[in-house]
Amino acid sequence: MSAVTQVAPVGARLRLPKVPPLTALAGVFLVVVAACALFPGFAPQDPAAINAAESLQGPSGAHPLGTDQLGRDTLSRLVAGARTSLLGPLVLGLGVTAISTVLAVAAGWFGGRTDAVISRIIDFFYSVPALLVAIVVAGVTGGGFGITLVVLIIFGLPMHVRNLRAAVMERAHLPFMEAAVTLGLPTWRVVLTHLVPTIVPNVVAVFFVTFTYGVVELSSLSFLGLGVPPGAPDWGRMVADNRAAVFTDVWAVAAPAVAIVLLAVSANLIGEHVQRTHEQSRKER
Amino acid sequence: MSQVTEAVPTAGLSTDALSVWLRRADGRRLIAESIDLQVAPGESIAIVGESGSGKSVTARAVLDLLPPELVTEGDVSVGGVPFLRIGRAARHRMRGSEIAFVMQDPFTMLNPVMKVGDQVTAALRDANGRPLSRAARRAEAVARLREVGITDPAVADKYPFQLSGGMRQRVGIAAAIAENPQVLVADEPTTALDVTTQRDVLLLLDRLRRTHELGLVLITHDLRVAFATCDRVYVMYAGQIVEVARSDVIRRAPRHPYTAALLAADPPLDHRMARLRTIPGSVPAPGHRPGGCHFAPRCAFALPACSAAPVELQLTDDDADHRVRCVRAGEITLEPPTAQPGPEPAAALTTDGQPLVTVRDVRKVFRDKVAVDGVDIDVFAGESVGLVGESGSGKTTLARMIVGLTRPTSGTVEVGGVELTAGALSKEQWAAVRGTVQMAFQDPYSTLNPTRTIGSTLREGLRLAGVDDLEERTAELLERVGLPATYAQRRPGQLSGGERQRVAIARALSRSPRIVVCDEVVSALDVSVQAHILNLLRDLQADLGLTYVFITHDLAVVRQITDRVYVLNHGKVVESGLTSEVLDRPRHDYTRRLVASVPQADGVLGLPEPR
Amino acid sequence: MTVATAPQGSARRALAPGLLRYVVVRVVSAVCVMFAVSIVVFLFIHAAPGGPEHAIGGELATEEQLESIRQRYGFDRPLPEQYLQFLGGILHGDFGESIIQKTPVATLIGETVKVTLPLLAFTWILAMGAGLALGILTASRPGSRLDRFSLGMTTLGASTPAFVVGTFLAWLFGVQLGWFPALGAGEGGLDTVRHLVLPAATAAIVLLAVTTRITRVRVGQILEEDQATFARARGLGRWWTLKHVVLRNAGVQLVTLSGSVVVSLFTGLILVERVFNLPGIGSLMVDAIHDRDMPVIQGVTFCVALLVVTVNLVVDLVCMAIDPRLRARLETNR
Repeated sequence: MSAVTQVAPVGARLRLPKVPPLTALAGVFLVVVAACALFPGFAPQDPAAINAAESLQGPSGAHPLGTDQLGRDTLSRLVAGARTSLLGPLVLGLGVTAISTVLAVAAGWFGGRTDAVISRIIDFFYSVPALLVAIVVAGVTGGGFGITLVVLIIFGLPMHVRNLRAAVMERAHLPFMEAAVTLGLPTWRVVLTHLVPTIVPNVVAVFFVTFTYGVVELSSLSFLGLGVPPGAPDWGRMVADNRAAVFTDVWAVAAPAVAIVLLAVSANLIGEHVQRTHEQSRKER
Repeated sequence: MSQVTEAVPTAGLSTDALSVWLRRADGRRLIAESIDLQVAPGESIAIVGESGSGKSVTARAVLDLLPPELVTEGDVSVGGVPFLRIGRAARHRMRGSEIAFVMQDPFTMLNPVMKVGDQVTAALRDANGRPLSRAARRAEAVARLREVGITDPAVADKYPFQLSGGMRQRVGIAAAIAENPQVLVADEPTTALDVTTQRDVLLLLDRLRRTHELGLVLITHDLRVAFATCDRVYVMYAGQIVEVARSDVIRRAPRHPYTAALLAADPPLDHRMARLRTIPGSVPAPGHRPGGCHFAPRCAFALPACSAAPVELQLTDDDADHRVRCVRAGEITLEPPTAQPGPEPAAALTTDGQPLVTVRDVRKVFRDKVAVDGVDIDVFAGESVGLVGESGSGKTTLARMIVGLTRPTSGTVEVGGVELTAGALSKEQWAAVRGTVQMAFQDPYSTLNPTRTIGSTLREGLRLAGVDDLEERTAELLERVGLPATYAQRRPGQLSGGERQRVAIARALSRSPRIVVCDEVVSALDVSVQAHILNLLRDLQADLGLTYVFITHDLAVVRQITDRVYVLNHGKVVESGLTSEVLDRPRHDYTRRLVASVPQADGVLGLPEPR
Repeated sequence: MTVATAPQGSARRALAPGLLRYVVVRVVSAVCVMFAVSIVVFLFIHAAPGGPEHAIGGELATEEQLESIRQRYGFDRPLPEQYLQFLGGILHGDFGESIIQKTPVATLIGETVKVTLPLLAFTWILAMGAGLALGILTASRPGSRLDRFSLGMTTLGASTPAFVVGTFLAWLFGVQLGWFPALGAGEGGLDTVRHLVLPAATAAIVLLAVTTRITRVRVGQILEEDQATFARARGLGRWWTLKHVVLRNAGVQLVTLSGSVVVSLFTGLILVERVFNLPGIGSLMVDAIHDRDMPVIQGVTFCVALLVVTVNLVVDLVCMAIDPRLRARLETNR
């Protein structure tokens, strides 16, 4: 306590939470990517402009991150690709988080038949690898981005439903929940005002884990030429298209690859930070 | 100068200025302060203290089993060997063979996926130092289990989860002493057990001490257990030993005000106290202990001199083995703990008229287990009814059925004229039930929502009761349970266990119920805090005319707080009647056994008086 | 106390009724799942855009070609009849013929499995072995430098797609350092082994993050339990604790983990084979998807499903075998 008051300038009431530098950097990176996704106009050049004469050039004044095999500006393509690279994981993260929370609360709180049905279905899907199903579905239907996301959401649910359900069940019979019931609070209010707030940290963790997974899975699919339509600027696809460049000029591959890893690591770091701060505050209680 | 206290014994266990520090980023904090213990072979000592006294940490420090953030200073001698100064490997070899340890919870201490026999014999080697053959191992296992009173050889082939708590604790003890150590440190070995099982395990420890010439160190929060089992008692408070003496001396003539207060706060089994003695304040946390005498701020005899300088443990004039950490030990006279009994509740209670709660032939079956098996109960307005039983007796299930948290498999439960078992209840009927009966729960740490302030928790109930002036009534409720109104802004994490339990009671009162069901509300609390809560409950009953259904396993508590009692065993009521009648003249075998199992100072365990 | 009459000393006991029932139910349900999979896989060809004729004949097929395809594959017959024929084929290991390569699908799978299976086995051993060792090591030294380093690496590993790791390794060791070939499967013998080093390392590194973290968490939990303290208090050795406390108690989780590692390895290998141009079953699948070679997609999907179902069956049965608590639950929950 005393250390904090010494450091804080006099009169500074607003105490910023302590964030490790790496996590802060991760946050900054996410903000930059989000800005690119919202305003693709940031791209310095036309990301689709082909210039065969300038193919696979290293970084230069005109092309800060070099050019790809077709001579397109890599930096501009990165900026343009931010939207799909961010949107996919975001939809996936929100979808899985929302659906798994609802299913977990339904199964864990109400128990009985609801729980039996949900748990059975979850058990069945648990060991089916989502990415593999997405590949097969894309192969059979000729699939698009939308159907791929739906598949990844459905098959991404089981693990999180199971974990959240366990968290709900752990809390559903805590005395303060039962006291709320005994006081005469309607069930929906007990669930919304007592149960759900206690699992918020777990839910937040689910979002960040799924987001990270989404970055990895969706870019993997793009790398295989599935999911994102051909020609669209997408980071995974950029790696695939310029794969051969590892033998000549590595920038066209390295830039999108690093962008993918940074996005996933950033989400991971922030998710872990959220969990850690919660754990600490729980310990201090 | 007594031989026992001063000479460094070569056998047994002794500690010399053993201190434990907690290392933290902002410095280190003293947890246990300069502890000196002596245990001779065949002798038993108890370390008694409330939570926060540092007794368990001391026990683990003796064996060097502390987590890395806790560091030790001082010396431990085991059989003459400087235990903490020899190498790590040598020390590890001495664990189990010279000094052994039994832990509190028999459900977590044993390996759940290993057969009992293999666990008991894991450390045994043959004459050549090689592991035993399968046949020899089994034979040893059966023999060792017989030593701890398990005569069925089939138990050796079972897994811990197939055994009862008492059996598991026996297995744990057999495993701990398999290599015939000189010293056994037992950390609350019976706290997780039922009272009848507790008696058996204490008897076993006592027998092993004599047959194996074992020096026994018993860590306990329960003075009665200490007196009944041990030759000498060390009383710990806030990291210090405040008093050491023979059990009978401490019991009859304590010289430290804390010891005396602790004894007085312990409710007696054989009579009802007019008012339980309490200790003001609470045990200071490490890092917040006052200078000088740690107990001074809570002590009725404290003078300014008490807080001036650290107080040493010093010999008393009356007994060579009696030492006490109090500067005023020579001048003050402490009242003997056996105070005047209060009036027993009138024999003819108003058990006529319409009962508030009627339970008829209620059964509850979970999967294939019968929890409650055909029980009839009546609760009349203004009385306090106890439901007593051991774990698995069905008492908590019964309580939950009365407040409508659990639905009976068959039978009827009627509360305030509403039948809870009659199909679906209307909204109004439920509202009537919720306004009639409320519940308080056992665990103070999960009874309140940690994310909400105390005020918000209380306002929730008040709003449901249709109260308008929420702020005023919240303050009133807090005051009623003996807490300042400013507590409304606090969160549960800032409250002690006793304070949380007060808030939980206030929450129950927020709906102005006629009945409060108390499910083991004091069993997780320290004795001195328990006394506060019991007094509070009595005051509330007198002021508000409340009716209590009081669920507990503790007969002494039942004596203090209830008028009538139902004794439950395996889901059935085996005996009921006025509390004083049932406890003084139990008629059913089970009740007799229950009453006889409560450890009493004067050799109720069937132990000889201290030597 | 209710089960006091356990047979004494007999090493071999007949399966308890609950356990026997579990094994039978579990095997039967696995077979049922495979039947369900066969129906779904059969319907693939009918779900393809343009119908089954176009799926086989391609989008530019003439009406005559379509008619001959219909005749040859029996698409004019009722669905159940077609399915039975398809099922009969599968049961005899016949998945039809590749449209592009005009080779039986079974032959193609057989050839590619020869590349994928050794890679899968080798990588599995690597990921499990190293993950277990690292997880146990870091769990027994919580907060140490190694622990923190490994935590950072697992975070990085979990966030890095296999194709990125593979591309990086190919660039570093294949192009810059030139230690190992970066592309292809090699010409047999030692050359094949050299060609498999980078692909195996890639898949193993990605999964190592998962295996290490899960082992670290579970072992860490166990070491904080009373039973671990009690073992220490009895002077039982480090190896004894590792073998009997840590491994036995974590057994179910580790077996489950090793099963899911097989499954996710398979997915990872699809990417790895693509990066390193290996003619494995993953490449076969991805090429078939791009070529819309439906019989190959059907065949590979069925085989992968068979692998997943078999692994899960084995995992469940092994868990039953090693955890007495799971077995006991079977007997009481009947």
